[in-house]
Amino acid sequence: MMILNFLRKILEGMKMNRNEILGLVIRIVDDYFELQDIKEKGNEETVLFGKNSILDSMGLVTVIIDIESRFAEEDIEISLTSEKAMSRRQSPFRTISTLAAFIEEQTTTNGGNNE
Amino acid sequence: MAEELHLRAFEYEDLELINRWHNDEEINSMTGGAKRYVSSEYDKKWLEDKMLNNSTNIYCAICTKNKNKIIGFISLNTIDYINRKAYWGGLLIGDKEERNKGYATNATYLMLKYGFEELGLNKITGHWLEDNKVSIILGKMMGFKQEGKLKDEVYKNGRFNNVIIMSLFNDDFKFLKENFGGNEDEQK
Repeated sequence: MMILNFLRKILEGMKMNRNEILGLVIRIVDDYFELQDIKEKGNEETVLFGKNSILDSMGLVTVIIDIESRFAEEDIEISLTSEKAMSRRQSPFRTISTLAAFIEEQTTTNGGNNE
Repeated sequence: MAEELHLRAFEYEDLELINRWHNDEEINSMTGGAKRYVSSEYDKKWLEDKMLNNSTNIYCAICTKNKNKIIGFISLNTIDYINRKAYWGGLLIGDKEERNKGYATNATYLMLKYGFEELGLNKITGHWLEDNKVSIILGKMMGFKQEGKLKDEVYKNGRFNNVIIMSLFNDDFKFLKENFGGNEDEQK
């Protein structure tokens, strides 16, 4: 349902709001947990990067690439592995919440639509 | 969440596992060096060299804290104490049952912390095969920034491969420490 809402928003040419982005990121993380048989559920505070992360290195990169792909499929350009993202003092990859905020910032900067 | 790790010096008891990992096809395919067949005798000398000559090349066993079991190893190479720089020797999680548990990033963090905070390094430079996207992205997440690319630098897997050069400076490690380690110093 979350994915359908996401796609509907895209088709309507509307920007996703923070909660919708958050939902999508949680869904992608949960998909990875399920695939890896990890008995966890993602939430805003789920740590993605750091010593308390549930994700391993491969998992984190997989999630990031998956997020980029889902947006790219809809011609929304976001680059989570850009120099800009990586060189931030506060890493956007710390938690699901910080990552969603960073994606929202990127979609706003990039127009957030198919332009 | 992964079990906590610690680093320690190599011991003779690590020889069998290290030799097995040095001959592992899958591990070989992801490392920068050429594939070689390594005898246990060769690895015994290799291990002794790492145990006894450890001032400019520091190799550590990566161990789980509770079991003290070696799951891989990690190194800093060509340490230059005058210019306070070193090369990232790489990391290997040899024990396949212990992969995908977050140990690689944790071990990397511990070694970088040792390099910057104990050895007083200012810069650590690493070389990564361009095809090794996961390691490159992770390197960038840890704060490494690309300084260059060496074209057709390594002949591996039947073709020449480009190599990406990335470096991490002490100033950027401080940011990594905030993001990765949280308030670990306050917790001690």
